[in-house]
Amino acid sequence: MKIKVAKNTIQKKLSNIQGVVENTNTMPILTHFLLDVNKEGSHILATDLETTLKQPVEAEVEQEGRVCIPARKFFEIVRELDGEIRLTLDKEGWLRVNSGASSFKLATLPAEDFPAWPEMEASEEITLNDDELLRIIEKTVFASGLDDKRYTLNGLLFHLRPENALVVVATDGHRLAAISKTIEGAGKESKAIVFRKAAAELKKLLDKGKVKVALGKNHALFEASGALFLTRLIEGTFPNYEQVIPQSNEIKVFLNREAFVKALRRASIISDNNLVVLDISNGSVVISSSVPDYGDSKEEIQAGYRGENLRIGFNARYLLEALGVMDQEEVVFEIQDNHSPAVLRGKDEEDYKYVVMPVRLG
Amino acid sequence: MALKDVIGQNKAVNILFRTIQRDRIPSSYLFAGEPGIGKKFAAINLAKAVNCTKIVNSHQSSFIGHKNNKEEPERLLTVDYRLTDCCDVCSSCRKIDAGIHPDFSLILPESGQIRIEEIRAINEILFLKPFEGRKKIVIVDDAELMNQNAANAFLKTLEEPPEDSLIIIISSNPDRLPDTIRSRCARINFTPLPGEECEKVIERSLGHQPPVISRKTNIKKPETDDSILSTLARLSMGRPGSAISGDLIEERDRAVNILKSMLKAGKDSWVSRDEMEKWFDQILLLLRDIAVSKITQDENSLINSDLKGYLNKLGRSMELKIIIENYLKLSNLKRYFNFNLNKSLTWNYTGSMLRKAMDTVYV
Repeated sequence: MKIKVAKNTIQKKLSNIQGVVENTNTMPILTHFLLDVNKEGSHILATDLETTLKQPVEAEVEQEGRVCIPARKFFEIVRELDGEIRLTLDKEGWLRVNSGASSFKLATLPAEDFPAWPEMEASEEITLNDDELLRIIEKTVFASGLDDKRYTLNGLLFHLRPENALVVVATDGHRLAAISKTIEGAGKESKAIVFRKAAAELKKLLDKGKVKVALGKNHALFEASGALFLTRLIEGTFPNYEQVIPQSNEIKVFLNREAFVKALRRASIISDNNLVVLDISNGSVVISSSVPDYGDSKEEIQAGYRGENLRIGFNARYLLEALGVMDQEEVVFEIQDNHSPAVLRGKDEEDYKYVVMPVRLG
Repeated sequence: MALKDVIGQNKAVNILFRTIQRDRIPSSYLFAGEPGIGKKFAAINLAKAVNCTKIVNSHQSSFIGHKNNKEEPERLLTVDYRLTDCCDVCSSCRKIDAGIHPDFSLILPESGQIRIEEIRAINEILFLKPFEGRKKIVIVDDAELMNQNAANAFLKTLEEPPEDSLIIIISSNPDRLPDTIRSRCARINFTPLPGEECEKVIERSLGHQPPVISRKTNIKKPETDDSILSTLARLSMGRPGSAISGDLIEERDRAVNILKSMLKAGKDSWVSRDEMEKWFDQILLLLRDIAVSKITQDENSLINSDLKGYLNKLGRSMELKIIIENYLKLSNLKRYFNFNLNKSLTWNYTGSMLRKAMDTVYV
């Protein structure tokens, strides 16, 4: 193998894979990436067995070849080099990295040992804009579980519905975020649970342009600006989210988002496990919190509401995280009573719903 | 190697083949049987067969056409394995052999225990869909060494394993596994191998160059390959794995040397408690051989037949009754090993007992 690449080209690609390559030593090959050099087109491939990233690399190929290169060390070397980099693989498996007057020799591993790029099964394909996908991920990913024993909760459900809609849902059992989006050309119904970590990694890769999404039986494939991002799906059945989203909550409280956020932040300073109490009455909401023998806080904000008084408790963190990803000036809090799930959403944002369970007040 | 290369476990292997053929592979197996008889070998090759890229999933229809094909009748396999066994050449098979297949993991005890972290790691592998294979396979070797927390953490996964997964639990001491784990697995028993098949396994894995017999004991041994092979096979007691992983002849010779120094009232020569335990096994075998040669005079029924001259001499100095008495005493003592027996006290006790029984002239 013998190629020439520009430093800037390869450095960008290498920094993209740093989040994917494994750091632990369980399988040494996973700390490497595969460089596949071909006259028709070269690419680099990195995987941690959960997610796999394949990116094209523009290179001047003198001799074709495939080899596994230690990802972190090679990245460190490339970062310090300038201009054009020449890579040569010798017969004993040493990779020579030359640039200007400096030269490095790196041990490599045989390309055959690298995990195979899994074949995608027949799958449903849809196309999204990168900003749409970014919005979808940002508005849901925070609500998914972290290291939950119910593994399906550690991911985002991509639900392709027959009526031309894509619904993405995340939940940790206490709250649930669901966003739906109309798309063209969806056919069959299909469901895929994408790992939370993979979604976060994918977010970094989204660049200007279209993203092709393919949902298969075992994998989901995202194709953005030439790069292929493939992730293994989570086994199991995702909770039935439609059952969880309340359809007819009668009490509607209109709040200014910024004022609500600030008040919640202040209230959660003195609180027991982020518990805050909302006292809703005509025209206002009083947000209070207290820790016995320690102190308490109270704040009144204006609210668009006419009706009976209601006292309801929430985990402030759950509310703040959702309010943080909303962008409308005014939000609606739809409540049934103080022990049924409540819905929080932007006033004119019909496609996004955030469901949160109230905390029982003693 | 493939599943068909598992020697001397026809019953177990037939069961495995049939489950693959009928596509009725249970979600978890328990491979039970003494150490060194091929449980792990079978498990790894089962993993290869399950994920081999050469096997298409239509065993049943194509199977009928091959039923009458009688190749290798001596293998006594009642199913045609060629349609279900791994090919041993595709990338999936090679990766499993090398331990780098992404859907395959082998859990081994670390410093005598399998901890909860390792079991959690299994769960993490299993809850994702397979990466490139058809099934995700986890093998837990020496599973009885799971500590209680690990075993409890494993229960949930064993009870409702995610789809497309196969858990193989290997244990040489299945009775020490919690009931709750045993009851969740399909148990397959592996048995110690007959001498001939033991030889085959040892020959295969050592190639045609058996280790050169050490000359620490001054006992004359014939040095042809065959006799070494059969000695190894006999010493392995039906567990060829023990002959492959260590030099049994050297171990035995060391045990004999320790016995000699004990009879000369030497100092405690056991390096570790581990060695003490092994030494007891060896000495019990020697005593058994002495008794057998005294009664039958038939050197073919000896385990340490390459030491027959020495054993005969020792035997002449002892009465049968005393041999058996000592055998019983030693095996009783062995039972206390789990109760933290003091090494040098055991040495002195055993030493004085054996010095009374054996004539030290012949050492």
